[in-house]
Amino acid sequence: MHNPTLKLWLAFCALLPLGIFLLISASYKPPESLLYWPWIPSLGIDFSLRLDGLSVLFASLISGVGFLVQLYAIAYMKPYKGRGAFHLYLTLFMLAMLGLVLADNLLLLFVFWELTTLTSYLLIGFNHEQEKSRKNALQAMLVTGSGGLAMLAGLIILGEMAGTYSLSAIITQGASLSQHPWFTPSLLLILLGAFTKSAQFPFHFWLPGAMAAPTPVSAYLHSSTMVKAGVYLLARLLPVYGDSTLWFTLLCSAGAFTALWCALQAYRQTDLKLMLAFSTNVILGQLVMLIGIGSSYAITAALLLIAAHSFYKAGLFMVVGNIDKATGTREYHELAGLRAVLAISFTAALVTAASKAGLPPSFGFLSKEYLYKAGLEFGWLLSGTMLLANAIMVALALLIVIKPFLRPHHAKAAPMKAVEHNQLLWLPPIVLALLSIIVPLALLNWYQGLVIDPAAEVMLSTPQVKTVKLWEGLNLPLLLSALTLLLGILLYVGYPRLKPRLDQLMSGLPSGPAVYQYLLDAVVKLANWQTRLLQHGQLTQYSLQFFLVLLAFLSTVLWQIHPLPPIDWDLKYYDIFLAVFLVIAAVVVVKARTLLLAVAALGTIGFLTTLVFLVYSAPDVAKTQLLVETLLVVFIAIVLRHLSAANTVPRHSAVRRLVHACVAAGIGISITLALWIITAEPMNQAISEFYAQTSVSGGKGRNIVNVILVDFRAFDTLGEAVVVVIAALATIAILAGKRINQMVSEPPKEPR
Amino acid sequence: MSSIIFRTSAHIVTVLMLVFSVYLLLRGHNNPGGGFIAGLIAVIAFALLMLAETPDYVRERLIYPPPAFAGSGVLIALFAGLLPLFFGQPFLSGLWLGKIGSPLLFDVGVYLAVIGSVLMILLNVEEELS
Amino acid sequence: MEFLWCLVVGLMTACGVFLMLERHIVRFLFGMILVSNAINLAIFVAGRLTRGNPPLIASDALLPAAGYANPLPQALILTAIVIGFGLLLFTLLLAYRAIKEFGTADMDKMQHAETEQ
Repeated sequence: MHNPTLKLWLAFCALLPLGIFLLISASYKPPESLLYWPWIPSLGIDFSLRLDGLSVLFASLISGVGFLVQLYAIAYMKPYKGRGAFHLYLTLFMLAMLGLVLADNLLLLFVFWELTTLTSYLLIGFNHEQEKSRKNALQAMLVTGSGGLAMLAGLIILGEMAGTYSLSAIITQGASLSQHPWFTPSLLLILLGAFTKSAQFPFHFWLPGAMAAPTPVSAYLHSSTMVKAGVYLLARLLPVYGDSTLWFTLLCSAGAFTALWCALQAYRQTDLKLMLAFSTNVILGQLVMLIGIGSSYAITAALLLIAAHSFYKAGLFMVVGNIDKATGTREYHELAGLRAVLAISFTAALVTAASKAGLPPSFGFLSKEYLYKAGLEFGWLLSGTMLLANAIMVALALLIVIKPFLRPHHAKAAPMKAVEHNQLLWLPPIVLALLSIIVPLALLNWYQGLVIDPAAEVMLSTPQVKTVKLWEGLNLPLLLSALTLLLGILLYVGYPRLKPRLDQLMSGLPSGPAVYQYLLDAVVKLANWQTRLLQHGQLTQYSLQFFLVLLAFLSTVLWQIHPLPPIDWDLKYYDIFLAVFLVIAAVVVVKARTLLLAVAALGTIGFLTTLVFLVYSAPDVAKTQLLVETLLVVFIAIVLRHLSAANTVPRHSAVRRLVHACVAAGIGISITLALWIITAEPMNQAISEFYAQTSVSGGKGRNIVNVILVDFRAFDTLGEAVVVVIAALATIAILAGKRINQMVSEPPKEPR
Repeated sequence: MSSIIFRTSAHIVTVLMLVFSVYLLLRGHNNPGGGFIAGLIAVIAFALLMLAETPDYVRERLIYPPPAFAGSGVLIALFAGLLPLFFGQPFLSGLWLGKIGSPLLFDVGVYLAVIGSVLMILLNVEEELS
Repeated sequence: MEFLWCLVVGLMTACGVFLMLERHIVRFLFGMILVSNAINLAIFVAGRLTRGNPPLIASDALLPAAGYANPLPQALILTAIVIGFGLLLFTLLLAYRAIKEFGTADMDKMQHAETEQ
């Protein structure tokens, strides 16, 4: 860290989230505050931010955990190249995420949603020298991005149903939208977005894949923030969709299945980081399920679990990052005796793992109690599934604490080095561990007043949240907790025997990444196939295809004419003269055997057109046409002088030329007919009359055409001037390109 | 192309055409004319000079390279459009001070843009091809 | 009288399209010039034709003389002519460059760029 600019930048990146955190805490007045700026008023898109219980919970997690992660990353990313860029991406991601949870406009929310996808792509693929990083980053982006597109459609339908894109207004309409015929499509599309983002089965696989990212990213994006964006959206829209049976069924089944499935997957992993990634899937599944249930207990449990999980999972990821730093591996069976070098990290691991396992009095215990309470309201199936998933969490928590830290060091274990002299490596996880204890013990009332009560008020139609207590005496949930612990210990003890069986059982099933890869390959194949079919490189075929399509469009005109309009032959002799000569000149261009004759005929056409403009009262157009025609002929003459090779080109076969003649005739006839019908209709002159009437009074000019060009429609003219300049620059590029080619690539002796 | 009569008369005609083009530009708001037409006439004037002399001769007489004319033309037109913003009016509305107004400035921008672009092509084509 | 010009525009377009289907790249370019002329005329005709009454306002009047020609299509065509000019020049030099690069003006032999990969 000798570079002072870098130092300053890192300090800025670390302090920005802290500042935002303080700002949010200062400006939040429960139950909600609204900040609002108009952005594109004509489209109903406003830059409006909304601070209520739900968004404040997310915003403070994003900025608070963001602060700690930035600190941790300063230490963790020290040996990496491009640290400055890493912190930039991290900061951009944080801002996008904040925008997502604070936005009060559906479309604004979508914009930020996509921004988080993009910035996370940069972060996951940060080690872009490795193919795996690039591939997994792309996988994460394609899965969440395609879900995001589906969600956009869903959000637009929702906005159109509600007649407004403001979230607050939509939420106040509540369940009244459920009778709308588009209700179910919008629900399904939005769910697709939320499920991909929050890694629900069958889209869960991108999240473990995203572990290719540096550990600070995993700690931030893939545990505490981005993956919860889907959960946030679901929680936000609960008042709209919550009463629907479909919502309940889909969310509960997807959530519960994800939790169970990914718990089993986590149990099979040997890499600590992957283990944590799959257990993040588990928590996301539980959160989705809780929102699906949508009772007051469930909401309380979800609001507790979101914070509890953020604290302990980010902390555990940092601990694993430190293990990685100290030994260079994350495979648990290569790790032992790390307590010697990672004493403080061990403390953090102990506390956060306790929270993960749900031991009292940790935050995790509290949220698990409420999870069981909510589950029990809906029978044993959900509670049983959660019990099994939580038991596996207990086993994993034990494993993470015991295997790397408590086993004595032995010869086969990876060598280790001391890393904790850098305070920033252990300070953030310790803070997170402390939070996991302090909040449930000392700050529970405060948490309820600031977060749970206001959030429940927004999310529930009849908010009756009971006071959350850490200890509620002996009851069924507590019993289930004890059972969970017991089962978890059994699973840990039986681990060596159970894991191979589970591997055997699950090995035959198709995996998410394999299906994804198959689909991706199929898309590439399709693209290749259509490229070969349509883009074969035969230029004249292209033009024939183009004109055939044009003819198909134009010929629809031919069928729409019922009675042909009458013909008005009010002609002067010079009309006939001009028309006849124009036609003759056009035919000469086609028939000409030499290019020079064709150019002469083209010039004639240009001048005859000028005369047409002049005769029919368009002096400005006539002048322009005359000058352009002059210059064009000059240019063509200059260029043709230097093209000797241009005279010997064979023509198409006679049959092909006949086809061409038919296509050309068809297009000509269609245009004549279309124009004939247009000119027979009565004309709306309102705009022209307006221009004529205001030309002197408003535009201070007596040449109406010029006033239109430089005043009424000056924007068009400006654009046109720019186009002409660009065309000129492109022409220069064409000519200059030749020079460069000759200088660089062509050896002088080789004739072309 | 290099007969003395042609070369001498080309110089005179070029000057006359340039004067005429400025005249067409200035009167364009009330009579047939305007930036496009005036610009094209000026280009033809320079083309004549180029044929009588050489592209380099024309470049020297222009002082600034053609892309500078094209660029400044667009910028002037843009400036004429932005000017009303300072007076609380929408982009590109006309501002008038007696007989001179921002639309005239805009037309001057178009005039320069047309001259710059077409001359740019013309001179380069002539230089590249011969 | 508009009908006569509908016929002329149709014929010119047909000639232009036929040229644009040929193998000779310069003839293709000629076809393009012809079509762009024809389409400018088409817009002009669609805005109705008026004889001898240009959209100018006399120096002592506030409004143009009754029956004045429609100024809007004129402004649009004027713009179209200049833009078309720029683009035709671009195409002309592109064709020139292509002929020099490939040594032929036959478009069916210009497949270099597509097969190179």
